[in-house]
Amino acid sequence: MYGFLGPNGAGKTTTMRILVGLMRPTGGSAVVVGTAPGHSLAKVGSLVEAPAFYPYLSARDNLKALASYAGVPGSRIETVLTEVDLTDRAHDKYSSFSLGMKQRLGVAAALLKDPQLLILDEPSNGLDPQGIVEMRDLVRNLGKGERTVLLSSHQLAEVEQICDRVGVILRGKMVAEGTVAELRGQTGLALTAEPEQAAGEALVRLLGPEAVHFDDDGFRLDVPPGRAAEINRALVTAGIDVSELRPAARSLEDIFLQLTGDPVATAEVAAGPLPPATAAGGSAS
Amino acid sequence: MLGSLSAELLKIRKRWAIRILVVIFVLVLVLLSYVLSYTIYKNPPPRFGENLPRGTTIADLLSALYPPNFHRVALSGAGGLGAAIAIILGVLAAGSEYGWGTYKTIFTQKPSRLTVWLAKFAALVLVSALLAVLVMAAAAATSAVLASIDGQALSWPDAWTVVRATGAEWLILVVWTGFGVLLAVISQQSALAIGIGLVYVLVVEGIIFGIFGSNPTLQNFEKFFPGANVTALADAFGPPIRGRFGGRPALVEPTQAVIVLVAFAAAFLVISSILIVRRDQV
Repeated sequence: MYGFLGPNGAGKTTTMRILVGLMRPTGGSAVVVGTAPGHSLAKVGSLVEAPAFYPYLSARDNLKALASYAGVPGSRIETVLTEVDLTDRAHDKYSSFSLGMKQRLGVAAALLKDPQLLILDEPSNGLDPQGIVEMRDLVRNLGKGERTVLLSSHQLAEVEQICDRVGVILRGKMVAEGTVAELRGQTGLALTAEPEQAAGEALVRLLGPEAVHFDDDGFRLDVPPGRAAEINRALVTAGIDVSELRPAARSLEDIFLQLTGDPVATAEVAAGPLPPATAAGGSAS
Repeated sequence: MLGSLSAELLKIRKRWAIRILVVIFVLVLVLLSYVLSYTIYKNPPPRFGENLPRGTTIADLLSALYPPNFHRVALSGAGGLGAAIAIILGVLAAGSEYGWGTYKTIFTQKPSRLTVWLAKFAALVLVSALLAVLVMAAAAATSAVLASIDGQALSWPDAWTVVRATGAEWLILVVWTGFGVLLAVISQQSALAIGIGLVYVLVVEGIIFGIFGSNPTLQNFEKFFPGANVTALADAFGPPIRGRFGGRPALVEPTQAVIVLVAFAAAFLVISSILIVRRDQV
């Protein structure tokens, strides 16, 4: 399960259109299931942008038409309808469907070929909270087994929960890629202590200025969590009250915002490993 | 290819807009060409006979509505009403998919874009054949009813003539349907394509060539337009009414008309295929 992230206009949908052969790239190349884009469509299922079906046909007839195009046996239609929980509404016209049902039919159509690669472009887009949860559960199940799922989403929590690897795209270029754990980088420590001035001075003496950051939430220390006891002891010995000291992991949202909102950080990431988090409010000294 | 053809036929078969279009075509032919004409000929307004072409009587007009002429009556509607209906058919089949965004759905299935496109065209050719048969059947049935009402004997044109006339109607409908498809692909929508198609039939073929068609220079151009060749092909079976009402003689021979119309149909297919295959689908 591969999460494909990027702000609006970054090029996610364009990339997906290129991968399924709907658009030609202006430069570069891509390999999809071992061939050029558009040459292995029998092995690729996709839902790019909003689902698009014939409004006057029922869900079943829409899938029947697509199955005919793809040369897929009719028995697959019932299988995928069951998989997306649309069997009861299969006779209803597509035009009468809610957005959530349309999205589910889009996923069903993408699954018709039992594809090796499934490309889903923001399948939760426009859904209500209940729909988002249902779609997340559905997508999570689709990634089980041998199938690869390329999932573009704005739901960062969703991507964090269900994706094994993540790629972040910005202005048409991939600026970071790895497992969620790799992107989060080294876990540090979060610390709250009083008085702050004395605590900052003690921490800089102990850990060095580059490892100590301070913002509205307190101190953030870029050190292994295993040093927590040592830091706590040093501060208490110096007469500083430590009210909180815990491991601090960055969320995918923190990383995404850092990558897509800070050109300097983006450039650094593009050139090498993900940098450690930097405090928004400056560092204590 | 067969799978794609099956899908295209399913989409056409289940679409009410296309069913209604077919019914309108048949109804208008029956009502205007037969019922209205028959009513007028049976109850002619004062001095009606004086305005007929020389040598033509009301009895001649009535006899044109009987079974021996049904194929001629059916073909006489292929250039105007048939053109409009066929253009709309082509636009509906090709243009609506832009509005619904369904090209991206079908072009990401297994077959190539060209295969899907050829299947769409093949499906429309089959539908045009069905339409041609329906129009001929409706004309035959209506003419038989009128002949029975008037106590006329039911005599029919020979089978080969009927087959050739149906084939001519089919070719004419295929050309206009292909024109509608091409307009839809060029404009990537339905409304504009229907507008352009109908304006072309009414203004270029109807008004410009209709009014200024006696100009020899213009006739040299007109020979290469679909309308003149459609008329020539329909006229090859003879006018339904002796004497004709203000009609012009055909500008080309029937064989040339068939060749030009087949060339038009092929050109519409090739150009639309190139556009569909080469363009990005967004």
